[in-house]
Amino acid sequence: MNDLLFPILVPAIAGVIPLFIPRKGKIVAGVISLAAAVWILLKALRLFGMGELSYNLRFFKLGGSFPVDFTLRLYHFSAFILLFIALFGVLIILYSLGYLRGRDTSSAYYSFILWTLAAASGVVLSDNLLMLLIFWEILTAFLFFLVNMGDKGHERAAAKSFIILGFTDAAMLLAVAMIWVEFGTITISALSISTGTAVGAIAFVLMFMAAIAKAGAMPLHSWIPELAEPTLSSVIAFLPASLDKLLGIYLLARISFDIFKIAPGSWLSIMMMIVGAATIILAVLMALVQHNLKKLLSFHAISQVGYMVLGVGSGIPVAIVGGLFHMLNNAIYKSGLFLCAGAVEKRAGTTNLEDLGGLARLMPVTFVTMAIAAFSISGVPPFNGFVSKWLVYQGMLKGNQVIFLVIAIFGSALTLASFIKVLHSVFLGRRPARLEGVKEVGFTMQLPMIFLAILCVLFGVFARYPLERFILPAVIPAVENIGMNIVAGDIITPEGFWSPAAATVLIIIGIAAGLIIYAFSRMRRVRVDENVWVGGNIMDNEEMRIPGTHFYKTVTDDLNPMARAAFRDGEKGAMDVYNFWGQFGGAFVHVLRVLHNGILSTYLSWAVIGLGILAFILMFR
Amino acid sequence: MHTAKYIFNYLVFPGFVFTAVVGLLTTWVDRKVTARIQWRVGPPWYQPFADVAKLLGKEIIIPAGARRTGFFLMPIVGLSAATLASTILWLVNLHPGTSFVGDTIVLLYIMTIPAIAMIIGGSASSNPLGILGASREMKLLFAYELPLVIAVMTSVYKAGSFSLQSILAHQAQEGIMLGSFSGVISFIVMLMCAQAKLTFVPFDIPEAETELAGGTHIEYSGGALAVVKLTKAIMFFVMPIFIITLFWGGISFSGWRILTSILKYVAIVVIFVLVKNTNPRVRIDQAVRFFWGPMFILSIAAMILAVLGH
Repeated sequence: MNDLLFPILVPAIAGVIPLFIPRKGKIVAGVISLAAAVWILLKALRLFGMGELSYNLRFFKLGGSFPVDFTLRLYHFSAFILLFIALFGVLIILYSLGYLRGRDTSSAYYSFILWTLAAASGVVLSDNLLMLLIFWEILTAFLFFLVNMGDKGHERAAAKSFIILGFTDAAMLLAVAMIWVEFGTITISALSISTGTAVGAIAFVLMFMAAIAKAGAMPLHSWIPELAEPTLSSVIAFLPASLDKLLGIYLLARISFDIFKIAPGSWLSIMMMIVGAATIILAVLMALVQHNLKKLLSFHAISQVGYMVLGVGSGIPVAIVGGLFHMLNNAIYKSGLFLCAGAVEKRAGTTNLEDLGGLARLMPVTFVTMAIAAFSISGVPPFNGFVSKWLVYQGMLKGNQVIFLVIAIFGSALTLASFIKVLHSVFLGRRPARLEGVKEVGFTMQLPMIFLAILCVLFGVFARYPLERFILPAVIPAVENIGMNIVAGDIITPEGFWSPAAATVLIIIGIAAGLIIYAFSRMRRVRVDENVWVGGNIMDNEEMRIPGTHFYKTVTDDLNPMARAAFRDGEKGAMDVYNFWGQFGGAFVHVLRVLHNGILSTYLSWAVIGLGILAFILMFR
Repeated sequence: MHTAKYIFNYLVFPGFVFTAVVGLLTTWVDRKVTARIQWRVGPPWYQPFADVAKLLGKEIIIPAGARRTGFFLMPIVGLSAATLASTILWLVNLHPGTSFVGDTIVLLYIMTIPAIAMIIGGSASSNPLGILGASREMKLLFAYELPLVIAVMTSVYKAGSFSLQSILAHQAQEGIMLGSFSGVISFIVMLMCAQAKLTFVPFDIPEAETELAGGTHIEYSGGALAVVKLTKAIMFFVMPIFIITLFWGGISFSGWRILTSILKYVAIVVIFVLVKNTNPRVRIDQAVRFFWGPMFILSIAAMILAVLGH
C-alpha cells in the first residue's frame, strides 16, 4: 500500500474501535486512540523526510467526462502541516485522558477525534480540489459532532458553526465547479489561474471565503465565540485553535500562490490585507470586554488570524513567511492557552473571570505554561509570537503599507492588555474563599501544556530551526527571492535585524545580575505581614478582591457613543453575519407565511397561476 | 571573544553600570530642578546613590497574600529589559554601521517589558491599590502606545528601514528628522508619550502618590524597591536617547559632538522636568482621550506629511 494512504486510513479504521467500548471504559478507548495517534505521528515524521511523493487512484468518470480521482500529493508544505496535525492529535488525546475523567462523555469522542485527524490529513494530502472539498466537509461534520458533546448551549453553537462553515463549503463547491468548467481540470498541481478574469477572481473570492471561515477571520468568525463557552476545552484546543488554523491558512496559502497567483498591490491582495487588519483590531477590542476566559481566548483566536491573512494576503515574500510562521506559532500557543483554560475549568469548576483568582500558587504548572503562552501571543520578545509578527511587520514596511503596519503593532499592545487581565483575574489577585482547596491537574494533562510552552520558547529563541526546516522550504517553490537571511541564528532582512539568542542570553544575564543585587540586600529575611494596609486601615477581607473584568471599563465606557454601541454588540456576538442573515431570513419567511393562509382556494389559485406560467414557457420555447 | 565583549557591553559599558550611574544622576537633576522650581535647596548630587544603598540594607516586608516568586522576580526582569534597551541604543550610537540584537520594532517591544513587569508585580502584590495601579498602568500603556507607534513609524518610513543604523545613516546624509514638518510633529508626540512611558506627572496615574500611595510599587520595600527605582532611572535615561536617535541625529562621543550630544540630552530632560512640574495629574480616562484624540490626530497628520514627502 502506498505510504500516503496510511495517515488517512489508519485513523479512519482505528476510529471505529472506540465506538464498541462502553462509556465507563472510555479510558481504554483513549489509550487505543493515543496509540493510533502516536503511530501517525511517527509515520508523519518519516514522511517529512521523504521529499515529494504522489499517489493516484482513478475512481470513475462522472457523466463520461468529470473525473473523480483520488489523487494525493506530498510535498514539503503538506508534509510539515501533516506533521503538526499529527502532533496536535497526540497532545489532545493525551490531555483528554485526564480531562474527560469524571465527565459523562461517550467513548465516541475518541472516534470523532481520530476521524477528524483522518480528514485533516486528507485535506493536506489531496491534490484534487473535489477530494479536498470532501475531506473539508467531513471536518465540518465532525466539528458539529464534537461541539455537540459539550455543556449547556451546545446545540445552538453546533448548529451555528455548521451553518457558517457549511455555507462557505458550498461557496467552495461553486468555485470548484467554476474551475472545472472554465479550465477543464481540478488537479491542484496542474492549475495556474490568473485572477485578471472575472471567473478567476470570483472563484478566488469564493475559496478565500472558505479558507477564512475555517480559520475564523472576520466577517465569518462568529461561530468561534459562540462555541467557546459550551464546548469541551480539548475540542476547542484541537479544532478552532489549532487544526482549523493550520488548514484554513494552508488553503489560503495554496490558493494565493499555487492555484491563483496573487500579485502584491493587486486589488485582491489589498482586500485580503483589509480583512486581515480589520480582524486584528476589531476582534482584540471585543476580547478586552469579555467576562469568560474561554470566550476571551476565542476572540484572540480570531484576532491572530488577522496577522496570518495580512501576511499571506500581502503577497510580499517576507510577510508570507511571517504569516505562515504565525500560523504555526498560533496553533502552538493558542491550543496551549485553551488546554490551560481547560485545566482551570476542571479544577475550579468555572471559567468566569469574576469567580476566579489567586490560582498561581495552587496550580503553578498551569500558571507558568499559561503565562508563557500569553506572552507569546502578545508578541513579547523573545517568545515565538514575536518573531512571526516581526516578520509580518518587515513585509509591511517593504510593501510601504504603513497603515497596516501600525494597526498590526497596536493590535499586539491590546492583546497584551487583555492577557494581563487574564493573568490577573485567574492566577494573581486575591483568591476567593471557594477556591481554597484547588489542586494542580494530573500529569497527563500537564504534559501537553508543558510541551507546548516549551515549543513557544524554543521556536522563539531558536527561530532559525522552524524557519529553516518548515517554513522556508514550504514557501520557496512558490516564491523566489524571499529577501531575508538567517546568519548564525540572527534573522536579517533589508529593513531590520533580530537576534533572538543574543537577546535571551543578555536578559538571562540581566536577571542573574538582578539576583546578585538581591543577594546584597536582606532577601533572606523577608518578613511576611499578615494584613494589607489600605488607606490607613487594615483591609483584609473578601471585599478587597478586585477581579480583572473591569480593568478596561473606563476605556470601553467613556469612549464616544458609537464605540459604546459597538462594544455592547461585541458582548453579544460582534458584527455577526449569522444574526444578520437570521433577520434577513426571518423577513423572507414572513413573506412566505403571509402567502400560506391555510385557505384551499388560495392554494388552488397559486397552482393554476403556476400551471399557466409553465404552459406559457413550454409553448413559446 | 565576541560573546565576552557583548557581555561586557551589557553589564558595564554602555550597559548596566554606566546607564544606572547616568540614570541616577539624571534623577538627581530632576530632583534638583524640581526643588529650585519650588524654592527649595534640593539634595546633593550623590543623594540617589545614597537612596539605593540605603534601600538595599532595609528590611523587606510583603503582605501574606502576595505571590512571592512573581512579586520578587518582576522588578529584575524589568531591570534587565531596560538595560538591554539602553545597550542596544548606545552601541548603535557609539559604533555607527553596526547592529546589535535588534531593530526599532525590537526596541519598542523591549521597552514595554519594564511596564509589563511592574503591572504583574503590582497585580501579584494582593494589595487593592497595587492592583488598581496595575490596571491603570495597562490602560496608560495602550493609550500612549498608539501615537507612539505611529510617531516612531514616521521616522522609520522616512528612513525606509526599521534598523537604527539606517535611521542614523539616513539622518547623517539627508539631515535630521527634526528638520522636516513631519519630524517636528512626531517629535512633540514622542515627548508626550515618553512622559507617560516614564509615568511622570501629568501621567503618573498608575503611581499617583497622593491617592494610590505608589500604586504598582506600593508593597515593594528594601532591595526590591531599590531595583524598581533603578529601573525607573534607567528608563529616564533611555527615553531621551531613543528620541534623539530617531529624530535628532543621534549622539556621538567624537570631538565637539560630545558637547552637542550632551546638550540635546539635557534639553529633552529639562522639557520632561518642566512639564512634570507645571501640570496637575489627569484622570486615566482623560489620559486615554488625550492620547487617542489630539495626539493620535497629530501623529497621523505627521504620518501623512511623511508619506507626502514633507
